[in-house]
Amino acid sequence: MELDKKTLNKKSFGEVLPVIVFSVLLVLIIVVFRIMMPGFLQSSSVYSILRKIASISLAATGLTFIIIIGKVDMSFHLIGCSAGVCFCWLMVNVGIHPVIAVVLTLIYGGLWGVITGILVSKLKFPDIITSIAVGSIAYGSGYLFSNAAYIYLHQASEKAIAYARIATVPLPIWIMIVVLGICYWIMEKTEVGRKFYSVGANPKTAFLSGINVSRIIIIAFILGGVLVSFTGMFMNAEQGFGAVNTTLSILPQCYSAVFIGWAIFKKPCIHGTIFGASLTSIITLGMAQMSLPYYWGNLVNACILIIALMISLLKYNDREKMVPPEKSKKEEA
Amino acid sequence: MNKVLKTLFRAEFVLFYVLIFVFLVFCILAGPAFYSSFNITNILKASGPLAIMLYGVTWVVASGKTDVAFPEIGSLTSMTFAYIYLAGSSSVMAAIFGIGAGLAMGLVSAILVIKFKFHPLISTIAVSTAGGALAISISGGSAIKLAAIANKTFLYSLCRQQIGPFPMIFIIAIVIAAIMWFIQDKTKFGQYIYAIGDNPQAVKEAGVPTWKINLILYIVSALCAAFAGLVYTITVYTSGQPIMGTSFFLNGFTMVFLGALAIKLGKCNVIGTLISAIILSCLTNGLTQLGAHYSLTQLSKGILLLVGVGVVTFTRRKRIGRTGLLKYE
Repeated sequence: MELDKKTLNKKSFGEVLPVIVFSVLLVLIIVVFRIMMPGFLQSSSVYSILRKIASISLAATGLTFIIIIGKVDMSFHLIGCSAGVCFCWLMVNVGIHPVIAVVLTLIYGGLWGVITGILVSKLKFPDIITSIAVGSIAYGSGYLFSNAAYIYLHQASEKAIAYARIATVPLPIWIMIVVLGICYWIMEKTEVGRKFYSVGANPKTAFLSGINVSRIIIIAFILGGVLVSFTGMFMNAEQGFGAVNTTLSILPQCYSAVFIGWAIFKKPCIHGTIFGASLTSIITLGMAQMSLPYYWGNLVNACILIIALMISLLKYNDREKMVPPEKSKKEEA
Repeated sequence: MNKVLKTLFRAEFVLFYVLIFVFLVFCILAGPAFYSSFNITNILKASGPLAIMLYGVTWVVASGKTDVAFPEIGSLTSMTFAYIYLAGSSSVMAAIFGIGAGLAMGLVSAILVIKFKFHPLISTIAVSTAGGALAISISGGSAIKLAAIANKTFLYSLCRQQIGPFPMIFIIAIVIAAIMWFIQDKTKFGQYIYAIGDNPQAVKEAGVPTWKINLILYIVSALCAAFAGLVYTITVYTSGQPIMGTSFFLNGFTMVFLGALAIKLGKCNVIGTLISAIILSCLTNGLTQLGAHYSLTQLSKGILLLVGVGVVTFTRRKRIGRTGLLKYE
């Protein structure tokens, strides 16, 4: 069987199908919510949905970097907890200006990423367990800041990161657009992005072709820590007080977001993650606005995660069809 | 004499010394309140169900996969049992349904991992989220109180008994550990578990039906978690708990990986899990008695886990050696 350029360039039906399916699903969900609740997607609730999407998509993008390089992170939500409390502590107890506090918190979140990254890349610790351990240390040190009490944010300037508006659009949405825009540009248009994907595909060949694999892994974990710190700050500022367990429950949602993106675009990528984050956030928020209990949102998210994983398997079968039969047999063995 | 010392101080026994060290440190710091037989019974009582919950996960991790669904399996079992028991059926019937619900979760994750070849971590995250949501939905988020009737069950009266300072639940944990140790060390099945952990492809090509072994592993894992959930429901909480909490998750993985330091160096095993369950209970109990900050418990557990993983990684690398490896590896 000859593979001519036309077959290679032509996007197969299996490749386009998920994009169509998920777009239709997203529109369908919005329409259903709109019919059931006339108040859904009014100008005020659009911003609250976008706010939620900003929180989830930033954390999920951090996770995307780590999944792209073929590692798994179980610590990002715990780092987010710690960073959020650190942010409140810096402003209220230390009295630092909010802008500097934001910068310091991002550095703080990045430091946990540095620790995991060095342990996983240089010392070759297994990624899942190491991230759980580092995450638990981060979570424990969150209690050192808050002393196991709420840190209340009284002044408007302290909550500004969640509530300030630039041209009537809330600040988190601007931050999401700028940060994720930069991430998208790096991953899709620059050499660094190619390096991430090649490390994920095969670290050995990446190393042999002259990529500093350890550095890429450390950068990915740093980005994971920094981006989830944004989520921690948004969610704590939004609720008006700093608590250690604020971002504890975002883990399944972020994994759903990344894997939905993977299912749609056939690779873990930034735009896919944003799409996935929008889908899961709209479902969760829509169900919350219908005053359904929160756990139904969790259940639906878990089901979507499983469906997304199933659809991402379609890619595998699709590729197999394109490879000549003798070769695919060898690969199977 | 020298030989005796050498056998005594082998790396395989390091976890026993850690246990003795932790115990002695708290004996000195906290005084008689810590080493009274009442408190020791308490520590063992806490470590029993914790160890039972993690036996199955130990095997799953030993075979190179992960299972993070165990706290949710426990809570689903707990809620199902409480709901059915309160609805008026017998405790045995309720227990069967409760464990059945837990087993169903294990079966789903096994199907996702074996049939659909999902990443074990991701599929168990999905299963645990769904199972946790189901557990909460049974009561709508509140605990189901069983205080008035839980003490009529057989398991309750069994767990109340003591033999010397040893509570019955701890003895049950030891018995289960002994059975599982026999399976893991003396049977072909046990050898397959560790072989799959080292090289799944080689085991498959040798003609072993790996999918059957994986299926059994996930079912055993769910069974252990469900049984532990039942024990917690009846004896510790005396209520159906919808959220068993993140502490189980963290404690669990700390235990499994600390356990890899004992007996089979660098490989997770059941006896090691039991010993590290006692260590963790000692740690929690002792730090609480000293009035230490909550964060200290969390921090020390995290550091213990990191140390455990570090030792396992280094010993494994030492055993495999570096011949034929690239600089990156």
